[in-house]
Amino acid sequence: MTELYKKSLSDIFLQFSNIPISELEELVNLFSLQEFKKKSIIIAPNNTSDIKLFFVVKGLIRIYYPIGEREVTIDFKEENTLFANGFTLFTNLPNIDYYVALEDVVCLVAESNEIEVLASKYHSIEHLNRKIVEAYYASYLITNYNSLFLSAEERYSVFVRDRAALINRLPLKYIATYLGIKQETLSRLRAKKIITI
Amino acid sequence: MSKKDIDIELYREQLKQYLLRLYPSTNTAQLTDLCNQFTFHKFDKRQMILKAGEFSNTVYFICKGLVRIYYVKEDKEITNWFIKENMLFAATYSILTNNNNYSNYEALEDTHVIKLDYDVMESFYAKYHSLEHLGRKIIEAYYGAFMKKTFDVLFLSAEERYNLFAKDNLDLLNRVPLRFIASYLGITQETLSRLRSKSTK
Repeated sequence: MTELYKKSLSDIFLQFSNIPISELEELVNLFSLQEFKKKSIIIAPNNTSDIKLFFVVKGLIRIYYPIGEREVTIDFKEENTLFANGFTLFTNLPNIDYYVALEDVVCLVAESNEIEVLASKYHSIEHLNRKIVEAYYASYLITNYNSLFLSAEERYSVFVRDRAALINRLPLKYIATYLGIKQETLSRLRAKKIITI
Repeated sequence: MSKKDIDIELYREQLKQYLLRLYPSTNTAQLTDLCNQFTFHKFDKRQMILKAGEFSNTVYFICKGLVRIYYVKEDKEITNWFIKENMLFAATYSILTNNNNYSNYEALEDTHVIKLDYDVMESFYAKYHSLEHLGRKIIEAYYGAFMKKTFDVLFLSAEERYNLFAKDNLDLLNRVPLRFIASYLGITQETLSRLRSKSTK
């Protein structure tokens, strides 16, 4: 089973960059399987040591932080996506966000500093690394742009367009905290959608 | 040799020293090769470097001067960043998402930059392993700074944000019109004046 998962991970890496097979194998072999029960915390705040890169094989993760009485959802991670505590990795500061399993989760996990060692050994891995960081920064910038310039309705449409498969897997309250709107507004937008389509 | 020719060599050296301070393990010969690709440009005070709606894939290093980055929302200017000497800036949103950029870049002082297109930088990343590492570290640093700024706005009080800003940018308090600093900190100009007089007591 693990071999099959590693094949999926290799395919994701190859989408970012064309790496020689032997170097790709060395990279993928840094990963091992880890399971998390539904509701368990995968990364907690103040996770300053031992930064890891996760590849989701199965399940769904919510990344969020509390602010006063509210919660802000930063992102959801489903099958075939990567995640890490990027904030601490890039700033050396303690993170404030939680990474929580919304379903039973299976991940392939590698130590970030072991990937770093491989990146200094092979140019191809360093290139892949840069491409991945750039892609994630790009999606961060797009989310930021959307929150600045799109209306609640437009943000909802973008979510439906880009993350359609997630809608039925997520409690509405989490989608609302991701879009930065009230749950009532979200219900209204959903009802409107059904009427207009 | 004209004055401009002398400047650019100094400016390239300035960029090289800046990058070596950030990532001392960068191969110096390769770094020199990259820095030599940068070309000089001068912007006058108040000149627009880049406007919202334009596409740009140029990376700029400020040798001398000051740039304000802001966007306009509902007819209001929101200042995002100040970039001063020994800092890099680019329309990262354009470069990484291939969309037109949404911010405006304005020189607040007479500004000397050296600049290079990102695809040329990438061709050097492809050529040299050590530069590709440097390139990733630069992106990570800017990504991290953006995330940190987002969290600071949410979790720090106006006073804490002011103190943080003043700690790193004491010079900017005298170089930048207060209304821009207030906008950057997300506070009114009156609050900023109150915080300033409080901290100088």
